[in-house]
Amino acid sequence: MTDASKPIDLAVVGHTNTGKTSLLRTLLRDESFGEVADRPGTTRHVESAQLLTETGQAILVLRDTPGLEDAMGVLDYLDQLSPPQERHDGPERIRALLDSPEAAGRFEQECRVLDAVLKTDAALYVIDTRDPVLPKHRDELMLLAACGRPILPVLNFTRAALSDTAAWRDALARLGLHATVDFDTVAPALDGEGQLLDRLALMLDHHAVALQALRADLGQQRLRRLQDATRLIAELLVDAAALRLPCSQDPTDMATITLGLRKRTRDREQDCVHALLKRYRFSKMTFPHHPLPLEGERWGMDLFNPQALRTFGIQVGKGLATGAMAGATIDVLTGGLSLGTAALLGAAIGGAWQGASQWGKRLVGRLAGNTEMTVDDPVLHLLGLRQLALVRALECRGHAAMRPIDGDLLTPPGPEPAGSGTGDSGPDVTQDQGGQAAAETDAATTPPEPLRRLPPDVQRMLDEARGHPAWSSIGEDPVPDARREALVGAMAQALFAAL
Amino acid sequence: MRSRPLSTADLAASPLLQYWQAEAVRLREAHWGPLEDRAACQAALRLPADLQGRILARAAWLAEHGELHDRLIQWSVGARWALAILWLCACLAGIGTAAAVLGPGQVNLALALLGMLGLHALTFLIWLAGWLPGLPDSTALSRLWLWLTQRLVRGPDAALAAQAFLSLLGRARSWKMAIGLISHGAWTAAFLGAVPTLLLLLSARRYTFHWETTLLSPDAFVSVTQALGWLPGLLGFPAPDDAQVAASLGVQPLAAGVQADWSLWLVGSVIAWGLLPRLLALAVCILCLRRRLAGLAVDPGLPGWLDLRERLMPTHVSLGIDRPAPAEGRAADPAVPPPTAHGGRSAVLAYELGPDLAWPPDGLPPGVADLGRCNSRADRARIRGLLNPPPAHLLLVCDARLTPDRAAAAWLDELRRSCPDLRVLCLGGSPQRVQAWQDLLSQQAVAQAVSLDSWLEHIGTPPP
Repeated sequence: MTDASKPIDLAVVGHTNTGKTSLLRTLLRDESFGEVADRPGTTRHVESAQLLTETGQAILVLRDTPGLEDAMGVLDYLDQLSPPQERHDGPERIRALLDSPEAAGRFEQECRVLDAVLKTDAALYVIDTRDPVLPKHRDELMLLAACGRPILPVLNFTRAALSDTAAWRDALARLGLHATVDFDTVAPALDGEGQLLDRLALMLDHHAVALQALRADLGQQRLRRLQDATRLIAELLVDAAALRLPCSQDPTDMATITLGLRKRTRDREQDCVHALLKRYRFSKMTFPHHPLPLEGERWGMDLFNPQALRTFGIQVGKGLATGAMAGATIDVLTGGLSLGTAALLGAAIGGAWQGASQWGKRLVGRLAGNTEMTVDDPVLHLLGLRQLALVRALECRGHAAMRPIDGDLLTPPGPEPAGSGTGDSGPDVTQDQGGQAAAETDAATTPPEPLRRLPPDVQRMLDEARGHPAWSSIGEDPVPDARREALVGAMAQALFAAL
Repeated sequence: MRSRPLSTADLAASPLLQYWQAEAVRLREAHWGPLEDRAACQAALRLPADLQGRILARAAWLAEHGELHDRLIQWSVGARWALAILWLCACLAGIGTAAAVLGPGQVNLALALLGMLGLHALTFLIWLAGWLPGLPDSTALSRLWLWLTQRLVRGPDAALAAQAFLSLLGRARSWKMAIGLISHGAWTAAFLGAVPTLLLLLSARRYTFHWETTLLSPDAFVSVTQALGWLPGLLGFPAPDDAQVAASLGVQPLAAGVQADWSLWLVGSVIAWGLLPRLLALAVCILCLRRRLAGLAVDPGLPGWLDLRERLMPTHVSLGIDRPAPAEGRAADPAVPPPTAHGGRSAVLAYELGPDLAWPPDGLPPGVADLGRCNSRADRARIRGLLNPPPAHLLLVCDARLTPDRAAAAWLDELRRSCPDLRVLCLGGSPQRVQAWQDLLSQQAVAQAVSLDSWLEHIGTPPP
């Protein structure tokens, strides 16, 4: 057990339905681990998973156990098996229990848990802090203490309205368990995992180095997730900014092209949302209310609705087109070309005419009276801010959360609180009696100060992207370009700094 | 499908090909959606944990089990042939130019030099200008190339090969080097064709050299000759002296030695100002290209690779379960003989009721005994004593905010066996929790009371 190369083995134990599997889901960042439901005895076997470091080395084994439900019965039976005056030590008594016939009978589930705890380095005792402290919990802790392993109580659902953390801390202190850790599996604190590992390192000091390494690794992973997320958003923004659809001056043609422009942008945004969810290892169910392209879209969430911009606090200028043309801009002659002169010069010096011919084609189109439709600046800002808000919400979301992220949660808190009574739209498999809704609202509205616009650096880069229709992967004729990649990288950094 | 195992020797074969394959697979997946890659990922996962290595291995597997690998090889062979043909053409053009410049016998030095070096100097200067800071990487040239390949080669994969190569070079910022390699190579070939031709023609035929001018003064030609002759002079090529230059106006015939000097000056100028700079630039391009290509790396943040991290570098693996769970808890044995009641006593009992719920309840008639709260093992022992003899009617009040557990089930079973008429009242709780309690009660065949008053009516003791 003191072998440093062996992974640290942890059993996750607790009363039934306190969120043991949820804790594993959140620690593993895996929504599909085990089975979670608001009923007793959902997990009926010991299911294990190991955390790997960057180098693929197993560093921590987590064992999800069934609930310890009948500790009183087990203790009664233990007294019967080996009376207390016989002076066996705890583990010996537990072993006697495991060898008894009831280990396969009435106490099968409890014995599974105790067997797992005996084999591990430490136990995480998960507590639903919304439950009152009862003697049965003390009995469970007594039973676990008899296994002779360190116990770290993990206070779950601490962000729920009904949680009574103080009573639990007091009760645990009376049992000699002074080190506890708050870890809300639905809306974990940003550094919740780190705190948990720190406490564990105090208990398992011979594993402290490995736990520190794991902690650093988790920090790295989080950073990388954030970087990847901003990169995805930057890709989206460049695609949308560079999108440029030629169209004639005919109003009906313009309206059709505008619809096409919107559809492409919406589809692209949807792709980005899915990619973000995937990166954060959430299923598509997590964010189902996002407006799907053109059908059944929610009025308040439509990207091209001026109202959506206002709710996000984006300044809407007087010139903003409304109605059929909302969100799209007719590019006036100077718009694209003035930005492109540097590129044109470069193309000429480079000795090639292909770039120039493209410009030429566009120029001829202009002279023939055609225009080009592009996505409006405020819409780009809305796109970016919305995705950043989604990233923030995902950062603060545990993989145990079963309620989908509501679209309204993505609205940063304005002067009046964001609508909180919107929780009824989700499926009925909520984890608890409503405390979770509050927890998630909290989680989504904690970011320090909401952005009203994308940073000026990003605006500058978007301006550059506007001059390159070939950069848009949703455009007419996308061409890979090293400069585009560099720009996306730089924009991702700027967004990362803004996050 | 070939089943060639993916050995490490294979992987080490050609790094450039690996990156190229990976880029082609990435572009294809980014444009046309993900490929079926389960076997590829499994093959990659067998390698040591290194994201880049695994991405490359996955791409190599996919490329080799599709047509992509062959297409890339085909394309690269084609590209090499094209390059060879281009260079050969350049060489022939060099020979032709040299022959044309010397002409039938009378050589105008200024025109000959301009013909040999004019275009070369112009393109070389343009290439150098491309290095000026602030200019965009010559994407226009790459677009031209891509545009050409898209029209020359049919099929999406072929275009993909070129696109991937381009994108790879672009990311390594070595596109200019590659273009330089091609153009400097062509010019070198041209000069390598031209110089021997010059030497051959100058050795085998008799030429007379002169220069002409209408606008310029003869002194200008003298100084130009000296300036151009400086570098060849360093290499050992003789240059005509000032008097000879001045004498070479083509008015009077020159001595044979002067003609030989002029021919060597011409050859020297072509070598020193044409062949040499191109060779140098070619060497620089090759060196830089090598270094840049050696530094190629996979950027895992690029679209198409970004979501590979989770699959190729799993942060956790499942270890499975210890053993299958036993069958669900069995339903209560209905064949339990109902215990006989002793007297008409009735009692109520609180089971793990939250501390916020008052006990005993208000409105409990004096005829109904309160057995207290049943929370701990001591409580249970006390209550077991009180239940002997059992009351005729027992109401167990439980807190439905808590999740029913096996301890509750066992306790209900125990009570059911000792009390003839056991009923359970659930207080509070969400619909799901109440449902869980109801499930437990029906499993234990225990009747539920709707409220305290209805239970009191049931036992025939009206509430006070």
